[in-house]
Amino acid sequence: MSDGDWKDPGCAEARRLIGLRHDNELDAFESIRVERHLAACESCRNQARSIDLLGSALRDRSLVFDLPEGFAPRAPVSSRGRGARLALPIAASLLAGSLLTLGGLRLVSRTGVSEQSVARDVVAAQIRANLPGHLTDVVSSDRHTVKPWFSGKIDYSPPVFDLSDSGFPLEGGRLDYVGGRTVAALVYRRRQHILGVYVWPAAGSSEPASSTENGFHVLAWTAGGMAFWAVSDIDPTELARLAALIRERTR
Amino acid sequence: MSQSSTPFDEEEHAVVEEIGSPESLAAVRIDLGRLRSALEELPPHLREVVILREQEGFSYKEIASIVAVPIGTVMSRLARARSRLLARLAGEEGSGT
Repeated sequence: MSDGDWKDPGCAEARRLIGLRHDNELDAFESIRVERHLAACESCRNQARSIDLLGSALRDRSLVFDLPEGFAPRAPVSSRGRGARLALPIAASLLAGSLLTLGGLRLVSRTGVSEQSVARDVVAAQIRANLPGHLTDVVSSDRHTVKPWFSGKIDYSPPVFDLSDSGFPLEGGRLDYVGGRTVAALVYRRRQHILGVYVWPAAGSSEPASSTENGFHVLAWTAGGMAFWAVSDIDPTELARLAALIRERTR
Repeated sequence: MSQSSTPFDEEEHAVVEEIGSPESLAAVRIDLGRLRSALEELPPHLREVVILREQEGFSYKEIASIVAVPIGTVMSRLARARSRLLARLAGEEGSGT
C-alpha cells in the first residue's frame, strides 16, 4: 500500500466519517485514515469527542425516553442469539421492567445488567465527573474523612485507601449511578489524570478484565465482597497499577 | 461490513454542515434534562434512528431493515439528529427542518 492510499480525507469527509467511527461502522482502511486526520486536526477531534460524549449521554440509564408515538418496525427484527435481544425493547419499558406490545412484537425487558452496559455506565459517569463541579461530593485526601462520608448515603462501606505514597493521591468521593443502583465513586489522581473507582457489593472473586469505551480504559474485578470498576483516560498500564494497589489491600 | 463508502442521502444530509463550529461543540456539556427535551423535539424519523442506534445498539444495516429505508438514509438521519442535538445542547437554535 502506497502513501497515496492514506491521503488525508480532509475535514469535510472526516466529518462525514466521524459518525461512522463512533458507530463502529468504518472498515480498517477508513478507520486509519480518520484516526490520522483526527490526530492532526483539533477541530475535527473536538467534533469526534462531542459525538462520543453525546453517545454516552444518550445511553445514560437515567435518560428515559420513548420511541416516537406510532413507531413500529417496518420489518421483522431478528434475534441475535444469547438472548441479548429477544425482541425490540424501548428504553422506557426497560426501565419500568414492563412488557409491552408494539407493532405486533412482544417487547421483552432484559434481565440483569450486562458487563458492557456497566462499562458504558461507568464511562458515562466518568465523563460526567470530568465536567466542572461534578468530580467529588466530598473533597479530601484523608480516607478517614472520605470513607465515613458514605455512611448513611449507601448501605455499604466502600474500601478507601490513601495511595499517595504510590503516586495516586486520593481526591475524594461522590455518589454515582451505575447498573441501576447508586454506588460509591472514589476519585484518585495520577499527575493530570483523574481515575475513578466505582465500588459496590458483589460476591466472589475475579481477576481484572479490561475493556475500552469511548477512549476510556476500564478495569473490572471482584475482591473482598466488592466489585471494583476502575476507569480513566490514562495509559492502561497506569490504570492497572492502581488496580494492583487496591487489590493488594483488599485480599 | 463497513458503510464508509455508502453515500449519504444528500437531501437529508444537507443540514449537517449547518451546525455550529466544532469548537463550540467541544464545549458542549451534556445536561440530561436538556438532552431529554432535545430528543423529544426531534422529528419522529430522526428520534427513532437515534434510539435504535445509541440505546438499542442496532447496526446501520439492522436499522435500515427495521425502518425500511436505505442505509445511506440511516446514516444521514443519524448525522442530522446528532447535529441537532449537539446544536441544541450548545444553546443554538435547531437547524433546518
